[in-house]
Amino acid sequence: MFERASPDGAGGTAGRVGVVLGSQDATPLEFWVGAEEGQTVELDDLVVCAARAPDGETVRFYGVVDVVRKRYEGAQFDGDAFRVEAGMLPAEVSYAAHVHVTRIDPERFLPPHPGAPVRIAAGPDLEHALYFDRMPARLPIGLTRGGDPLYANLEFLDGTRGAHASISGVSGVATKTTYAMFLLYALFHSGVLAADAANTRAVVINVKGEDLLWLDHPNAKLSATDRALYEAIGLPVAPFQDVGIYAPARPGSAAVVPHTGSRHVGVRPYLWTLREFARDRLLPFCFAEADDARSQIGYAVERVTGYLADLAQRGSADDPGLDGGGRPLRTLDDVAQHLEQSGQLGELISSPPTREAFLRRLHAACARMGHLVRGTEAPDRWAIRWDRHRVTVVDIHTLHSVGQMFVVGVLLKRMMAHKEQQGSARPLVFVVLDELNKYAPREGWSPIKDVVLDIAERGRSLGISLFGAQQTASEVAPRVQANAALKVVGRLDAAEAEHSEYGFLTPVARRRAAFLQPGAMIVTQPEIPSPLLVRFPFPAWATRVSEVPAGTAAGRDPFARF
Amino acid sequence: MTGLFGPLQVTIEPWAAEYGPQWRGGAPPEEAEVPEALDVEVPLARWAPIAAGAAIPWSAVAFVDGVRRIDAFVAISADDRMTRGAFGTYAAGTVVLRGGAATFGPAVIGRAAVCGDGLSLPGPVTVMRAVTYEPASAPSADPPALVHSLETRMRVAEERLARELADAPGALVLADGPLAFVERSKGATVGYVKSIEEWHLPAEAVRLVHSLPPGARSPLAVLQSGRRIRYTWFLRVAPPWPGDAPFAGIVRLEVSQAVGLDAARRLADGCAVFLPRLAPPRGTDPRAPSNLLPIGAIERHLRHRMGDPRLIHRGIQTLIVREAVHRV
Ligand SMILES: Nc1ncnc2c1ncn2[C@@H]1O[C@H](COP(=O)(O)OP(=O)(O)OP(=O)(O)O)[C@@H](O)[C@H]1O
Ligand SMILES: [Mg+2]
Repeated sequence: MFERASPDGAGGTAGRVGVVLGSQDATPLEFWVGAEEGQTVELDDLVVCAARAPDGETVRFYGVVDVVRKRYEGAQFDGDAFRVEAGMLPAEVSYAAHVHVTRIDPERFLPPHPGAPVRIAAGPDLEHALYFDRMPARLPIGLTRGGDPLYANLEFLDGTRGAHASISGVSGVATKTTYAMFLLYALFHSGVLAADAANTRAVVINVKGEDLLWLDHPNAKLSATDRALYEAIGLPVAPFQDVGIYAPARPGSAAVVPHTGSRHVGVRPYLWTLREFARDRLLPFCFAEADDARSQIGYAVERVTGYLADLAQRGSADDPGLDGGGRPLRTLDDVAQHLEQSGQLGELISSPPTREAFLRRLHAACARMGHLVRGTEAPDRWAIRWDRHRVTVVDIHTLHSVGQMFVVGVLLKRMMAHKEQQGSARPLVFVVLDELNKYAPREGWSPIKDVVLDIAERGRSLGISLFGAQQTASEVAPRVQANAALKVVGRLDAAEAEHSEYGFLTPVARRRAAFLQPGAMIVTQPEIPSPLLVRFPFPAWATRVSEVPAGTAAGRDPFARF
Repeated sequence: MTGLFGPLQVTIEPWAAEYGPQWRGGAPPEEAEVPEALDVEVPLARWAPIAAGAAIPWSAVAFVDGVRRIDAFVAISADDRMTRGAFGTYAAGTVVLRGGAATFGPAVIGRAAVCGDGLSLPGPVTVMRAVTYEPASAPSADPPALVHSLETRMRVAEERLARELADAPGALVLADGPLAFVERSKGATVGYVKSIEEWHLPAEAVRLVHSLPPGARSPLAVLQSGRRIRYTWFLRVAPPWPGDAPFAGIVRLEVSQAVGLDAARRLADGCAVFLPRLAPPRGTDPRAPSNLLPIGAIERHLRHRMGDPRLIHRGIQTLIVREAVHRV
């Protein structure tokens, strides 16, 4: 009924690798290809075959190879392999590839015809196979193994039809952070944002090492091979442009200086004034440990937060500190003392054990992140102004976990508030946040999880797109994962890959994920019904001081001479 | 103590039952082949196993085999007479062992519509794509006569392949089955006979054959049927298993007498070294261990190449039905 089309029906015989097999079912969604003598078909190859419907219309089947296998045709016994090898038994090798169909054009769900020639999809065929031709704005996301650029539909990242990317994988091998930054780089340097480019912002939270504190510098060690990859993707080789870098104010230092290791120049310290801490009700963000919400503490925190907000109404708005009934309060410690000594705490929290527990935690917070809240600095002077630069890096890697939670929680909460106030999905903000399992764990509640969930669910309409990374998606709140349009995995632990969170991977892709090398990811996006293997080059920006070109100002420590 | 079988010695016929027994004895004596001379190599009194040498004298060994089958019988009426016909397919193929590799060599597939009683169809009949039957004729309507007509075609095809291969220098051609044709090629073609026909051998010669150790052969004998005179010998290609018939693993080989006694002896010695290596393990071939691996492979290969028998049978039916309806 359904005839094989002439070779030119499939666009010529060039690149022909084999024919559709008839010994296995050929269906509109999957079929097997027998490789021709001398031809190679590999995993991830994109192929196309054509068939002519009885009414004369040519239908093309595009797909990606997800299984390749060889076997002796007709061999009956395992021992046959030895006998063939010894030259006693002749055998023909059958080399076949399983094709997962990604697109049928036009959409007529008819089976391809056994014997139909199958070609490698290149050029326009490749664009068809992966729907690139249908993407009004396409974001480069890497390369195929063969070196062809791959794209994602920007509409699924910029909020038009979807938002957020979720990246999972084993620590140190999965290159999650690097890939998140690569996506961001592609966003800003491929021209895909068009008119939005000028106002779009990115906020990158640096949680580990100083990897991301150098991204405004070129990578002096980038190899020629990697440069060529950038060219193949259509991206320049350059560092990030227009970058603001923030680091926490150094603890124990009265002068406000950034707390960093190797980078000192061009880093702005950040902190909050005690008044804004009280006024903006930031206290709950100091109590984000897992068990806090479960205990009675929640209510206690709420009461104290309310009290502090009242306190912030008193005195001059320009005073960064608070007025504790005639006694100036300058630090979190001052606040704790004031609460105890004024007897306020007893009024706010009647139960002594709860009071005790609250105090214990408040003291802990003072010790761990007290230096981030000061009543001595001019309002707004050390605030994180993420709208000032195109890319803002907020370093939290030197902070204790309590401080990290505080910074992330407050930053995101404010961003949401800001965008809500704006009431428009533009300008866009992209947020890169590592260790989502810490900020939005599967179990429990915290004010930070609350805000992350809020971004996951409403960020799309507010123009906030979250690039989240985690080692194990199974430990992240399911709603966060479910709302991500772009789902990415690097190397995955085989056991982890079995979790339902990775349902977007085909069984074959799941197994593949256990083999992924650094620089290789599997990406799924809403429009393409098959996960894609994507390669991406080393960062074009420096990720450590040793990669910063010699003689660059920020690379030198201006205080080294002293 | 008498066992389960009393005084009788019951042993296992090694082949799967659908291939019949390996020992074909019991046929009427006039059909048995009579060895002409048993003492061409050594006198009968000194017959003893001849152990294999070490060297294989050929750079390539080619195996030739054929298969045939009836795709459909047809009943034919002509001039108020009833007769029979058969649509049949035959094939001949080769495997070449050279340089440590075994590969399929050339193969031929043919189809014939054989009519009995000297009748013949007016022209070729195409049943479906790639399935066309050439008209052929057999003297009688007996099924064996129809099969014989197919078999003759198969043998011709086999012989042609064998002759082409035997022309290559340094090559041995091993044809499955007795040599049916007078040798006309430059090189030697050895016939490989798996079934044991009734032989009028003296008892001591039979005992010797049954006691051959693996890789050893009997002395040469001369065999004549019609104009064809051949040297022949027995070879054990595999050790017998407990309970096996004494001839399990024994095959008979033959070569045209035209090659000369010395050449025949060298061929016999070479085969004794080489062929036991190609015996299939028990259980992997219905005629193990005597159906050599390359021969089994040719048979499977050809059966597959002949096309699906059910599909072809239905094709023939459909064609004939359509023809019948058309005539009305
Ligand atoms: N394109 C690439 N090809 C090969 N290796 C790369 C590539 N990009 C980064 N790497 C290497 O992989 C290492 C790990 O990368 P990265 O820090 O992004 O991993 P991660 O998955 O975020 O790890 P963690 O879970 O520990 O944060 C980097 O140190 C870098 O050397
Ligand atoms: Mg990381």
